[in-house]
Amino acid sequence: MSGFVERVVEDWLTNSDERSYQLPFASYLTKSGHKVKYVSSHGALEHGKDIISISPQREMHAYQLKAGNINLASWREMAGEVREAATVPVEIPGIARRAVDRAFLVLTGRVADPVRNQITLINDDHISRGYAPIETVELPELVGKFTAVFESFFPATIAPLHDLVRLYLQNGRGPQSKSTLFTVLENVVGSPSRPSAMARALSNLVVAAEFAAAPYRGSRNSISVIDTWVIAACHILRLARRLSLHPRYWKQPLGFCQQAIGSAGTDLLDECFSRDHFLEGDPLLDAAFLPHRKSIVLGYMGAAVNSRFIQGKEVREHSARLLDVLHRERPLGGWGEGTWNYYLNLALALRHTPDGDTTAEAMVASWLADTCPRRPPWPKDPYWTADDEVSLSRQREQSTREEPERSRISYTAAAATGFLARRMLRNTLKWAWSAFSRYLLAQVVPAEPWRELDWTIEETCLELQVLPITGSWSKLREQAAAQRSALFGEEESWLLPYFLCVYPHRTTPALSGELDFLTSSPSFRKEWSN
Amino acid sequence: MLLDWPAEKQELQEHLKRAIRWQMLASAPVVARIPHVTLQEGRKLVFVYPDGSRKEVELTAHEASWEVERDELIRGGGKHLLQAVESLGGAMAKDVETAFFRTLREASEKTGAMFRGETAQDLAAASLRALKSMDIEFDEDGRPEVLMVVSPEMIKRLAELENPKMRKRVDSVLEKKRDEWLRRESRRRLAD
Repeated sequence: MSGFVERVVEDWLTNSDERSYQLPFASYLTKSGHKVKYVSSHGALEHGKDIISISPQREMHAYQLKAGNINLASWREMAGEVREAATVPVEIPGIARRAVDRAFLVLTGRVADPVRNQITLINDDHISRGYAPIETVELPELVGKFTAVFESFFPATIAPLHDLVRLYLQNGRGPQSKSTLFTVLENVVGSPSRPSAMARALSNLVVAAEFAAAPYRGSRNSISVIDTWVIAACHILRLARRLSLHPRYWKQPLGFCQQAIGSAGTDLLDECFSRDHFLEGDPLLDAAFLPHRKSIVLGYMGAAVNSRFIQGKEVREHSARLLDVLHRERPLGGWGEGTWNYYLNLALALRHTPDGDTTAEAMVASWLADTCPRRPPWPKDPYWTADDEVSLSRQREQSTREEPERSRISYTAAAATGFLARRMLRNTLKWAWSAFSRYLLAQVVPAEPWRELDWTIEETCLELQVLPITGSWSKLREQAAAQRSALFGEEESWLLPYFLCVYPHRTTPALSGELDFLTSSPSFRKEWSN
Repeated sequence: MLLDWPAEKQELQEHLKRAIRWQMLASAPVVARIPHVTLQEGRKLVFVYPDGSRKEVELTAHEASWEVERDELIRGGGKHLLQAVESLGGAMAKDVETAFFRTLREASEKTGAMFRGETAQDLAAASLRALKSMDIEFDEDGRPEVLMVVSPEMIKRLAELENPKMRKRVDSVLEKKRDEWLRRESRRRLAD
């Protein structure tokens, strides 16, 4: 087993770039008792430091991470940066400006002998000037460190090992297998009884998440990278909620997830804004898949913009560009009510410009009309995914047998109605009432709120609301104002937009309303409360 | 152990489950005609009405079994699968329909929506009375959405009643029902 794990870890590391193993390495440090104070987003303020931590001995450590072997030529390019890691004092909010006690060059390869000689000379100089020498952590040592982390969850989970390795070997161009990943990560965490064991388990989870994200990162498939990390983040939060854990146990691993998700979100926006179409692969074949990809990609782009807005970042330019992309890519594809969360994210991300605001309202009004048709076939429920829709075998299975008619149920009409009512679009709702009031408004109500973070909720109830023939506008407004959710606390609210994309079956009016609230202007929020 | 095909068996098992369900629906046409709700998560269903009242729907487990001798299976070379699907689907349908009719009977007895008649005239009058007492919905094309459950024997007796006069009386009741429905639907709007 041990030899196998080492080989898997070595394969993963040798195929990783420095960004790929940065978060797992930070997580490894946490697990080893370090307090990670800084993880670089690869900006201008690095000064050669990718990670800064305080060791259990209260020493300040700086780590520079590199991918592959270092020969003399590559050393010449990076030597200055590596020296800076040891010599430029650290400036981090909350910590007095000071030089590091130890500086490490960590690499997923080996250092060539001439480079080793140069490092020795540099270290002589550093020691004479009172700076930390540069210590190297090369591939064999790095494999050893990670293997120790991996082994702490691999042997305990022999059965899902197959699933974890299967996830690792997936084609990185496709979608993440979300339900399998959820189960695998559940097994990685296990059920530790003590909070300290839980903290170690959550560090494992970060390493496992990056491991599962590796094929997608390698293919630059940002959406599947986001899926992987969002599921990891949801695991952390559900454990925190379930066990009422003190934030000190879960804040840091959740922070790593936030960094990975934010970074993948930025990559997605950069890629999509720089492309002039959303085609992938052979255009002849892709024509059948393109409409669905458009909805998903635009939904995730919307989530990236919404998440940034929630974190207090400026998004007007992105919102305007998103509107341009939407105009170019219309019409979008749909596969039933499982499309709602993508539409909602997109609509809410558009409204930072006047044109976008109008487009958002029109999108939701047209959603309400489409999701509550007057004649069958009724739209598929939100558990029917885009993957189901594009699968030939599943389509064949659907078309060969006549299923009994589904009741007139809508999982998303209440959310869309709330959106429109909050914007005082009374005439739109008056016009739509005769159709949607015939529907039963469905929502999943779990026994405990945090269970909404589960991929599949065991203990829950499906509530079907029967609407009156004559509806009341004031009651509709009242219900719309009450559409709020406390699933994510204020500090974790950045996750909600992504959560809705990754869990398209979580379509409750409360979650949709919460996203609306969080992405609203202060004046709109004030009106909402009144 | 000897060579086996676990993944393929898993796939076949999934296929069999679906086949049994379809067989059940084919053998229970009344149940198959009722619009259904699929519970994808959890095992509880609650209706919430406009007046705030709630009605929880109890889920009932339905079981069916089918037996065959092992030697017979070994000799059969797989042909028993089809028999198993038909038998299990049929047994399940019977179980589901029995439960369905029991629920329907209980509800009908409470609401008076049950009818019977000794003579042809009694039956005609009773069926019209039942039709008159029902709240009938019409679809977007104006077709009535009526579900009447009758025994095969009664179908024959009702068919014997089919004549222009009876047709006219039924149409007249349905016309009234359509008017009632239109009046009801004209109130379907968003007020203050």
